[in-house]
Order: sequence, then structure tokens, then C-alpha cells
Amino acid sequence: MRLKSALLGAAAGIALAPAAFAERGADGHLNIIYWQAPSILNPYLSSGTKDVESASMVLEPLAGFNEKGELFARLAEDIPTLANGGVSEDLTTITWKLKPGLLWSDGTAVTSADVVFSYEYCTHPEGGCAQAARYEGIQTVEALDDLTVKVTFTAPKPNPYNAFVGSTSPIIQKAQFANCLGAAAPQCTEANFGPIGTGPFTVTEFKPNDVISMAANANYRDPAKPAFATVTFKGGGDAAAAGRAVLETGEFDYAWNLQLAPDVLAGMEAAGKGKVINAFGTLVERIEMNMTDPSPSLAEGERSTVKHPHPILSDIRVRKALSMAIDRNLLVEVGYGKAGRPTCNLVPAPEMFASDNTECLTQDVEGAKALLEEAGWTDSDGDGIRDKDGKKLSLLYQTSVNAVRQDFQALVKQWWSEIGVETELKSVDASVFFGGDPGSPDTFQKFYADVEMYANNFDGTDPEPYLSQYLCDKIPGPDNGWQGENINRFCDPAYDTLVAELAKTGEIEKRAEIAKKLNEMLTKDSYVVVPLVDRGRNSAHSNTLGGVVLNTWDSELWNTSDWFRVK
Amino acid sequence: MLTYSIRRLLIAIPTLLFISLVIFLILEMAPGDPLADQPLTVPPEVREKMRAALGLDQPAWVRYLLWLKQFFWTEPLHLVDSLLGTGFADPAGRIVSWQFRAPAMDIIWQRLPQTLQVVGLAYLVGVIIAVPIGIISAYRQYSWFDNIGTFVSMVGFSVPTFFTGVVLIIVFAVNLHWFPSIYDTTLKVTDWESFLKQARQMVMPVTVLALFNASQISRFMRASMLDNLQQDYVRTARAKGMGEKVVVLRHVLRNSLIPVVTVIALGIPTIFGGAIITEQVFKVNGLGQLLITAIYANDLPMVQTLTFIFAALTVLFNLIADVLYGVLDPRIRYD
Amino acid sequence: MLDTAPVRRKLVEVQGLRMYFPITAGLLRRKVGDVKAVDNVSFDIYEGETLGLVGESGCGKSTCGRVILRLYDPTGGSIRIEGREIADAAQSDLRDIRPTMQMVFQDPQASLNPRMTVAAIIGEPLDEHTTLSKAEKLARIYELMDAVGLNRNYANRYPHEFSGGQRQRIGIARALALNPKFVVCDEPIAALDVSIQAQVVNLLEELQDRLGLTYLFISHDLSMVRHIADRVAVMYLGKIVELAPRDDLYLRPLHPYTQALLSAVPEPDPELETQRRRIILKGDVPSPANPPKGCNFCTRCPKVMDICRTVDPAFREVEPGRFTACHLFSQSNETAGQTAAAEARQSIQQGV
Ligand SMILES: Nc1ncnc2c1ncn2[C@@H]1O[C@H](COP(=O)(O)OP(=O)(O)O)[C@@H](O)[C@H]1O
Ligand SMILES: [Mg+2]
Repeated sequence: MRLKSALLGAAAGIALAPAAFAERGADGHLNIIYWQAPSILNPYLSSGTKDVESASMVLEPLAGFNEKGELFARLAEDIPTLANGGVSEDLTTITWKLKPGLLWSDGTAVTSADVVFSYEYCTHPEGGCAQAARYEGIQTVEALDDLTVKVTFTAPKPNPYNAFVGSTSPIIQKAQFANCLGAAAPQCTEANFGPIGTGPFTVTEFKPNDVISMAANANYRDPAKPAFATVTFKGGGDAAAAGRAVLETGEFDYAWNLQLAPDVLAGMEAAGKGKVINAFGTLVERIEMNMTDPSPSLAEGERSTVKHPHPILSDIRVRKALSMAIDRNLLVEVGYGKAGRPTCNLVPAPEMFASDNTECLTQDVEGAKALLEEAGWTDSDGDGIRDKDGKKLSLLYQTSVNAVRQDFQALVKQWWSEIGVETELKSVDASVFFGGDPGSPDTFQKFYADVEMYANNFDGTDPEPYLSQYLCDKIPGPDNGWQGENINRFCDPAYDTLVAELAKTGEIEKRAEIAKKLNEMLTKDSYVVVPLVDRGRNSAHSNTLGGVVLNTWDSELWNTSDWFRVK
Repeated sequence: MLTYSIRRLLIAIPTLLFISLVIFLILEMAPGDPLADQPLTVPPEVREKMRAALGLDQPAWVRYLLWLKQFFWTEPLHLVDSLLGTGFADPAGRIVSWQFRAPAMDIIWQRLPQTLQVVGLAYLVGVIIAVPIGIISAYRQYSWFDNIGTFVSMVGFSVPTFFTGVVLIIVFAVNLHWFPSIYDTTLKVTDWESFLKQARQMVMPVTVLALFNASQISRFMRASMLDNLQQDYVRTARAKGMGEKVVVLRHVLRNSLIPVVTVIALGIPTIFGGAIITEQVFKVNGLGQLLITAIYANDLPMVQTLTFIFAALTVLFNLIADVLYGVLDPRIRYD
Repeated sequence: MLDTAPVRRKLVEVQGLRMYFPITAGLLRRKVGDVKAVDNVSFDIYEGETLGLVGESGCGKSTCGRVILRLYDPTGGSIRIEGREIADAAQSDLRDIRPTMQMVFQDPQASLNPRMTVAAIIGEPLDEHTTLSKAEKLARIYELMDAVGLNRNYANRYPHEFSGGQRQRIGIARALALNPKFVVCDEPIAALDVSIQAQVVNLLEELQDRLGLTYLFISHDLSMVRHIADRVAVMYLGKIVELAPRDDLYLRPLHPYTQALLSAVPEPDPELETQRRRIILKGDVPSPANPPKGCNFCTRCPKVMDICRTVDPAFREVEPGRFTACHLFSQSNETAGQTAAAEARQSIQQGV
């Protein structure tokens, strides 16, 4: 696999740019704009995308993901696997080997001590490390020699590629951060704002929430790279301004994540200065069904808890009918254009994990009606709203304040009214909705509504932690301060058993099979999660910037070392 | 005057303390969470730890007292340290921004020049063009000049800067390519060429803000001139046989400037506040943008510190305006 | 008195003077009419005399005084000062005549620039119109301050630090700085305390004697005018309705409006005061923007005749030295006029 991708990369290099073989820094200056400005360049202190991605030009992990979601070695010599013996048979250890001769940008050698230190830094109990989840389940990280690191897990770890993999888990220099452990972390402003790294660029000046100036790393391992000598990484403003600066005025070479209406983006692209590129990851906009009763008539502490099953939505036929009534193609067209595609899956990618579940893609209003009839919901009083036992089929549908989401709400409400379901809409400010304040009734975790809509994705390529969110013991409730990721309050012992099996399976094909099954249990088998749109990402680059490969599995700036100026 | 100023400064202390408490309480009660923009993929346990690392596990009153101590004790000490090279302040005790995990004051100092350059210059330009426009408009009330002036200032005042800003960008940056649409804060003026570059990128934001400021101040100037032009002392001056120039510039203008000067002085704190929207539109990234991003990120220490500084500046410039009034207008004595 | 007046030289001659202020309305500020603040006024002022100008508030006295000094540009008519026509002269050409004519304003506070010291206020015209050295100028300022009874030590103080009477003295000193011949005193005492009023009037009289000044003394206070003026002009709604030597006017007013005005003045003699019969005028003063057709006074005149409502009476000399604008005395209606005059006389005598 490695050889193949290397060959492919080389072929692409030859085809696109003879200049790729030029010397380091030959292509001058690169301008990047992120409409959210980086606040800090230490990914361990902030998991904001803007911070992690800007830092990824400077700091590197042992391995990263390419645009297909495949692992490739960065600082590591090779990817340790069961096959090459890097991962132990019992799945409890993984042993990484560093490439020999690696240097930090200050000229000192990269050693296994730096790797061990990175682990210690992020797992310090007082540090508040934003990436602590990547180091979960690790017992020890030891340096076997200068270039070898052995990670031992507390239990068998079928997916050991969390720690030190991907831009959220980079290696930081021990010498620089040695005095910054735990509570001292915020005092190391100089280090947090200008980490010494192994990446293609080094920070020359950082103005938080404004701009980063970078220069080519003189000690980068490939002497011919990067092609750019200096970089300006500007932050702030809004997506429209960023798009304009790349696509219309040509002041910038690369703009990240242009969340703009499809027609706006097309208009900008027509100016001819650059191209919009898109790619899909795992971000899925979905409607989540509340399996518990959110009725305000229940006492506080009982509302939306497992004590009271949902009076309407506990019936799978109702859930399925609601899903069938939705025209996902229209939603995509209205909300996302090229940056979206309809999906029935909670896990839409990587390909090997994606179930071929396409049944929901065609809207079936008649089928939905029939299903509701069958479930006993009929319009007995002729007011257009179905009822059963004197109870109306009426739902509260909440989401965060966001233009596209409000459009979606209106469309869905319309479709549901066609099948005789009354819908009350509610939108909550995003900072409250996602804020997680246990005191607020409006968080998505409290779920004081019948259905709610938002988007979520998972880190990296392995869906196991993501699918584990739907375990019975992860249901948010008053006893755990409403923390917990099983938002729907879904609970199926068979599901829990299958997740446990996934956690014991190391073989990749078997893992994929189980993951697909789990995905189906949540979607087409139960309609607890109703996926709507697989949301891709739009970014843009100028016509003179070459080598850009949009990657949704890792930092978008994962391969800036290969970027060059098209002449 | 000196005793008056000192007395006013002393009265300002409880006022400011009260303001700081109000700001704190408002921020405390406002919905939002500093970790809200962290992706949903961050698990709750990690969130809890991050929260504790920010000091959010402390009760509100402890955080308020801590902020007071940090702002009024540690930060001034640190300033002394950095000026004299001493070591009084404990670096761990400084106000730490939650988004940057770095001392808030350092970032504020870093942002200040940007804002003063752009917003300050715009204010200056605004004043410089507003005063003559106000004078002529009043002197030739209802002439075509005055009518155009009235119209332009209505437009300048009522059309929001994010609109004028974006219009300017689309016309002059996107279509004509005269000026850059994104302000380069890393540009250092070292030679003629970089100076021109700096001037070029300042044209649009300064124009937008200057127009806004000028329309406001020129209205004040005009109204004040009109007030004074009706006064008997102007008639006296004419009766004395003074030329029109002397009458208008020496008699009327000097008196009309008294309220205008104080209005201008009262407007100065808004320079430090930065022009939030204009900075956003042109990506000047000064104090205004710092405040707005801090608000979005729920970076309470930064928001609290910035708003308090703005409040303190407002109180200070109120005092300065009063003192100026006393200096300029012999009728007013503070004793 | 009647026989001395014609011998004197006329210092100020006003003929058919009109001062209209435009009234505008609407968004485009179109002109929709005029405020006829001064409407066809004619009179002369002799050198060294004091002409009193009386009338109710709003009748146009101040406007008249100001326009004579060319503080306004008149709508029509002629103004001659020392024989020189100034009604249509450009402001720049007026500069050299400004020192001749000065004004003392009603509100001593408002008429002094609050940001200038007394010395600056008095000295400013000296800079403009003379070439005195600094020391000479200061000497002149002190001299003027002495003349109006101000303490020299206060030269560097600001107007607001003075009392109303003192401020008016500053105003007078300032007016006198350039040795004017003609001074318009626009209600110079109206804003002052009664106790101070006499002081200021005495000062004005004393200065007149010493410097040979000619005054146009504007006031709504008839007793004060009686005290200071040699001749008196009565204004009503932008026009002079009667002009006569003081004693004649007070003893035997001709115009019904003058009669009504004088009937309202309290008599110092208590015996006479009890006999005084007030003529109460009915109705309000019409707006100067919309004066009645015919005689301006016809809407309120107790002796109104039909002709008054159609024909504006001319301002004529009805007796030597006595002028009035009233149909009771018009030539074309001589007999009626005489009887009316006799009647008027009688009624006044009854009143007196
Ligand atoms: N500058 C002006 N513009 C318009 N109207 C005026 C102006 N000055 C005076 N008037 C009007 O002219 C009339 C006479 O005013 P004025 O001469 O001040 O009266 P008086 O001094 O007798 O009280 C009043 O109706 C007044 O409203
Ligand atoms: Mg008056």
C-alpha cells in the first residue's frame, strides 16, 4: 500500500508540476485565509479546528490520514500493524519506530522522549488537555530506545491508531514544553504561540485571532520541500470575505471551509481566479428521535429520562413514517448544493465502514401514511392531524439557530403535515444548544423536545467510539449532570453486545462488518437516528496554487509540504 | 481645577468597581459556554477537565474577586515589571484569556497599535473634515452645500458600516483591484514602498469610519454654529465692524467649538473600543475584533477585561471632557 | 423746542425703509410669504438728539434699529447717515462708516462674547479700525472703562463675572470705543433691575452730554422714554404710527394707538392717577406675516372707520413737527379729521 501511494504521488507530481522538484522555498510566498482565526497553536489546549489545522503546518503526529482516510507514516518509519508485528497479537501494545535522523526546526534531534512527553503533557490531570480522549485506555508509553516507543493499553485495543495519529495528537518538543505541564500550561505563552515542530513550516510571528507568519522549516526532512519560503495565515472575518479573497480578488491562495449558499459560491467561482474543491467526511446532519417522554407535565428530573418512554415515538412505525416522508434530495439541493449528498447512514464513510443502505433516499409519502394508519394513528376528527386515543400526533422539533437548519425545519414540517403530523418548531442559539450547561433546559443533551436536528461526526477513520455513544449506560440524565452522548436515550442490549464484540475485534474486515451492522441497527432497523445529509466541505484555492488535496480525515493543511506555485 | 479633577477621580473608583461587578454579573448570567465551539467529538470527561483548567469549577464570587485582584494588583505590577525589569508580579496570577491560554493584557497591547492606527486615524480624518463642513453648512444654512452635507451625513450616519464597507470592497477591491480586501496586519512600514502599501490598505477602512465619524461630528458642529450665529454677541461683533472672517472664525467658531470639543473628547474611548464591525469587515483585527471574537468564544476574562477598560476610558474621557469644558469656557468654574 | 429742531443738522435720514423676513415652508423651503417686521418707515434723527422708539414687543423696533445699522440687509428704502446712503452699500464698503454708528444691546449677557475678556471686547474694534499702539490701546480701554464707571482692575475678567448693570456698562464702553456719533440703544435697560436702570440711563445721558452723541433709544417703557427722549416715534406692527416732540406726544397724543398706549402708563401724580382712564384695546396684535388690509391698526382701533379697512393711511406731518398715519387726520377728509382731532384732544383731556 505504501509503495503504491508513493508511486501515485510521484506520478501526480510529475503530471502536475515539473517544478515540484525545485529547491525548498523557490516558490515564494503563500497566503492562506481561515475565516475563523487561530487562537493558539497548541492543539492540546484547544480542539478548535482553526487551531488544530493551523498548527498542523508546524506540528506533526507519528502518522496521519490521507484523503481516502488511509493511514500513512509521518514521523514514524512505518505503520505498525498486526501483520508486521508492530501491534501485539493480544491487541494490547503498539510499538512505533521513528524515522532516523529527524530534526526539530531548532536543529535538535527528535527522539522517543518527545513522544513520551507528548503523552505525559496531554494526560496531566491538571492540564485540561483538549485531546485527552486520544490517549484514553493507555496504561504506559515507554521509550524502548531513542527511536522506539511502546504504547501499552489497559485492555485489548483493536484500533490502536488514536494516540500520536492525526493532527489532533501531534508530537511536541519536550525541551520546549518541559516546564509547561499541568496548571503551568497557560503560562507558556511563547511555546503555545510558537511551538517548535517537525512540519514543513515554522512560526515566525503569531498574532492570536489575527495572523500567523510562517517560514519554511530549514530542517524539514525532505530537502526539496516545502516549495514556499514564507506563509501568511490570516484569520477572521466571514466565509464570504474569505471566498472573495481567493475566488474574486486573488489576494489569497487558499480559503478553508466556505460554508456559503451554493449559488453564492458558484457566483464567486465565475470570477475565474480560483476553484472550489469539495470532499466528504463523516459529518452527517440528522434528526434524532427522543425515545423518552419530554413532556413538560413531568417533574424536573423525570422529563426526558428512561423512566418514561416516549408516548408516540416509541412505536417504530411512527419513526419510520417520519423518515419516509422526507425528501432528502431536496434538502441537499436547498441547503448544501455540491457540498452535500443525501444519506441514510450514520457512518457514511470511510467506504469500507459505509453500509449500502439507500432505501430512505426516495421519499414515500403514501407509504408513510399507510404505516401511520397501521399504527393506529388516524385523523378521526378530520382536522388534518392524526390522533389516537384522544392524543394528537404532534411533535416538538428543535435545532440550533442556523439559516440552513431553519429551512430544513420548514420543509420537514411541511412533509410531516402532509402525512398528518403536526410539528411545532423551535430554534435555540447555537452556543446554548451545544453549550452543555446542565442548568439550561435548551441543550441538545437535555433533549426537552420530541425530535431534534444537528450534525455530528467522528474523529479519524474508526467509527468505534462514535458507535459506542449509543450504549445504554451513556444516556444523559440528572444523575450524570446530563453528560452522556446517547442523546436519543436508545437502549438495546443486542446493540451493547455487538459494540463489546467490536471492541474485541482486531481484524479490519470483521470490524467493518460489525460497524455496518451497528449503523443499521440505529438507522434502517430502528429509525432512532434519521440521517438526512452527508455534509461535505467546500474549500477554495487559487488557480496558481498546485498540490492541494482536500482531506476530511485529517487537517486540510495535511500536505502543505507538497503545495507549489503553478507557473 | 486640580482638586476638582482629583475629587472626580476618587468618585470614579466606586463607580468603576460597580461597573466591573455589573459587567461580571451580566457575563455570568449570559448564556453560553467557553467550550461550546469545541467539536462534539470531545468527550464530556475531557470537557470537565478543560473546564477545571480554566478555573470554571470555582464559584462565581471567587472568580470575581480573583479578577479584581488580577486586574488591579497583578497586572499593574506586571506593567511595572516589564517597564523597569523588576520582578514583583507573579506571572501565574495574571488574567489569562480562555481562548489563547495566554495573558489577556499582552494580546490587548499587541492589538492596540492596529486599532489606534486605523480607527484613530479615521477619527482624526473625520474630525478634520467634519469641522469645516459643519462651519460652512451652518454659515450657509439651507444652501445647496448645506443640503448636500445634510444628505451625505444622514447617509453616512444611518447606513451601517458593514454595508458601506462591503460595497467599497466589492467596488474597489473586487472589481477595480485598487485596494486589498484583506488588511495585512503583518506589514511593517520600513520604506517608501511599504508605506504606500500600508496607505493603500488603510484607505477603505479609514474612509468608511471617517465618513461615519464625520457625519456625526459635522452635525454637532453645524448645530453648535447655528446656535451661536443667532447670538447677540455675533451682532455685536458685526456692529463693531469686524470682517465676516473674524466674526465667524474668531467669535462664532471659538464659542461653537466648546461643545464640539467635548463631544470629540467623549468619542475618543470609542477609538479604543475599536470599530467592531469595520474591523471585522476589513479584517483589521484590532481591539474591536478581539472583543467580538472573545464574545463568540465566551472568553469571559478577555471580555470582562476589555469591556472594563473601555468603561474606565469612558469615565476618564468624561472627566477630560468636563475639564476641557472648564478650560475652554470661562463661564464654567469647578471650585 | 419746535423752533429749535429744524435748525439742527439731520444725522440720520430714513425713507420708506422696509425689512421683510422671508417665510419658507415645506421640504424644499419654498418662500411662502414675508414677515413684514419693518414696513415703509420714514423718519429723521437730528444731531445730538435722542429719538425714542416705542411700541409693544414684536412690533419691529429692534429690527428697525438693526437695519439702520445695516446689521440686516434692508428689503427696500433708503438710510442716510451724515448724508451718505448706506441702504444698499456692500458690507465691505460699510467698514469705514461702522465706527460712526454703534449699538447697545438689550441683553448685556448675550451680546458679549463669553470667551473674551473685557479688555478684548472693548479693544477689538480698536484693532480693526485704528492703528493705535498697544499701550495707547490699553490707555483707551482704561479711559473707556473709567468713562462708564468700571473698575480698571477688572479689565482681564470675563463678562460672566460681572453683574447685569456692569455688563451693560461694558456693552456701552465697547460701543463708544470708536467715538461713534450715532448710537442705537435697543432696550438697554429692559434686562436690568429697576434700581440699576436709572444708573444706566443716567450714564447714557451723561455720555450724550459729554460726547455729543445722537441716540435712537428703543424701549417699550413709555415713562423711561419720556425721561430720556427729545422726540418720540410710536411703532405698531412694523410701521411708525406717530412721531412727535416728547411733550406734545405725552400731553396730546394724536393716534388712537398712542392714546391707548399712554392711557396704560401710570401717572406719578396720585391725584391724576385716580382720574386716569385706561383705553383697553381688544383683540390681539395681528401677525406681521399677515397684516390686515388698510390700516394696520384697524382691527383693534376704537375709532375705526370704513376707510381704515381699505386704505392704508399715509404717514404725514399733520401739525408742524408732528407726524401721524391715521385717516382721522388725512387731508382728503379734513373736516372729519379736525373733528376727530378735536375729539381726540377732548378725550385725552378727560383722561388726563
Ligand atoms: N431674523 C428674523 N427672522 C424672521 N423674523 C424675524 C427676525 N427677527 C425678527 N423677526 C420678526 O419680526 C418681528 C419684529 O421683531 P423685533 O424687531 O424683534 O420686535 P421688537 O424688538 O419690537 O420686540 C417679529 O414678529 C419677529 O418675529
Ligand atoms: Mg426687541
